[in-house]
Amino acid sequence: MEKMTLPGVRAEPGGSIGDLYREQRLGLVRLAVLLLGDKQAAEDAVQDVFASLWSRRFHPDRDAYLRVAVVNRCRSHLRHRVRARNRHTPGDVPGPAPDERLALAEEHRQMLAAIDRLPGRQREVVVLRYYAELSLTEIAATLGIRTGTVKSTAARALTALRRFLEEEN
Amino acid sequence: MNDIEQRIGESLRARAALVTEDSLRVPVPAPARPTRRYWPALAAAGFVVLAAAGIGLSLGSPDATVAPPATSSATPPPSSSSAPTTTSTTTSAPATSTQPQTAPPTTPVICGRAPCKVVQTVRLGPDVIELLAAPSTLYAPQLEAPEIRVNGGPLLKNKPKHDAFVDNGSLRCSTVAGRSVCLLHTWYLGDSDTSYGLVKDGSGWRYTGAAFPTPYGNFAIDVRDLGGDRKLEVVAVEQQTFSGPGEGMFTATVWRWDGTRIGCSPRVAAKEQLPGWPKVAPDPATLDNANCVSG
Repeated sequence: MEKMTLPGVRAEPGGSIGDLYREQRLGLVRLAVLLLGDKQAAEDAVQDVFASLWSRRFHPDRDAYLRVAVVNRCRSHLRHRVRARNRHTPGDVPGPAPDERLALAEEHRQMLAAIDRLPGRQREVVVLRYYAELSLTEIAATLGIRTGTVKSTAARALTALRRFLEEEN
Repeated sequence: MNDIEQRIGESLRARAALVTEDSLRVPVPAPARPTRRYWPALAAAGFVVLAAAGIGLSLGSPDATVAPPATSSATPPPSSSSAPTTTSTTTSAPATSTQPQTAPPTTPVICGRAPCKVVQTVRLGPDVIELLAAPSTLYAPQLEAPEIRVNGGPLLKNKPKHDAFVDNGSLRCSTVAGRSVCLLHTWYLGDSDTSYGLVKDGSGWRYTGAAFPTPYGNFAIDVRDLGGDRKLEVVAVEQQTFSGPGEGMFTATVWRWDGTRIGCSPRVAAKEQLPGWPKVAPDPATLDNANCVSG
């Protein structure tokens, strides 16, 4: 039962996975940083996604494929992180490193700290909506949820953020 | 977009802008020269290309929509093969071919949200086992939402994660220690590859509920009776993506049939060095979780 071809799979339509990696890595790491709050983990998540593409000889021709893969890898990472801590807390994200905090304006620090307190799903929706600037439909497809759920989650996230910011001030 | 939404976007972009190419640990590799961490995966990719060509695997392009089970679904179709297991990736649906041509139009069987296609057909003894799935709407030509149907009967219950992907090599069936078993290999974007066990017992085929995850895929996965004690094990050949100097890359991971992992064989530099390759059969006494690819 030897399984030589791992699933996927279609020949590379043009350009190599290496090219794709060079083109997309920085943007995907940035997205992963916002989801994980940890640059090292974000790099690992993106590396894992590309390693997976290599092993399958699969060359995605849509950014959405990579985005979903990175979001899922980040979720997987967060699950492991929570499991390792043996507890579940909303906003289980470390946030920027101290040197990075210093590089941010105070208003951004406050906002990012508030975003870090959001539960995982709300944080994902906020990042995909306001950073990646995806439509509601695209967010729904990325997260595998209904558009209505995206709307309600975004609304709850905004309410929570306003409350967190008021508490800060 | 109101004020707070604008501020959220600005703060997220400010945070993201702190991540620059120079700040990343792993530099962008030169063409055809991957990072150290992933060279095994690249070697594997090369091997996969050669090996796939050698054994003539091909991904079909299923386009036959599957009809619901025939009313006489309990009756297995006649077996015309003398081999214990045969597999086919035909795009037609064998079970549907037994239906009368005059049958009225029926609602197609649904895989997830779309009509099922026959992805793979495996014959094991008297049973024709079909792997069904639907083309992914977002990630064509990936096939998602797998279902299993035996002898044209109803879809098996307790299926794995609904949105998993499969292909025409995902279903592997065999008779081991007198038991008819299958493994269904699935994967999901950015997440672990996982194989699921199926077994035939007195009430027919069913999922066992056991899962066998291989985070970075596998080169082989098989059901075995390693000790000759009629207890089933699952053996997968996996590749280590992290390794230190002098460490081997390949290991055989062994699970009990119920999904609990027993351990992994000592790592070796080439998978051909695994005991019994290609029908890998590690000595149970050598298995250790410390050798495993994932914790």
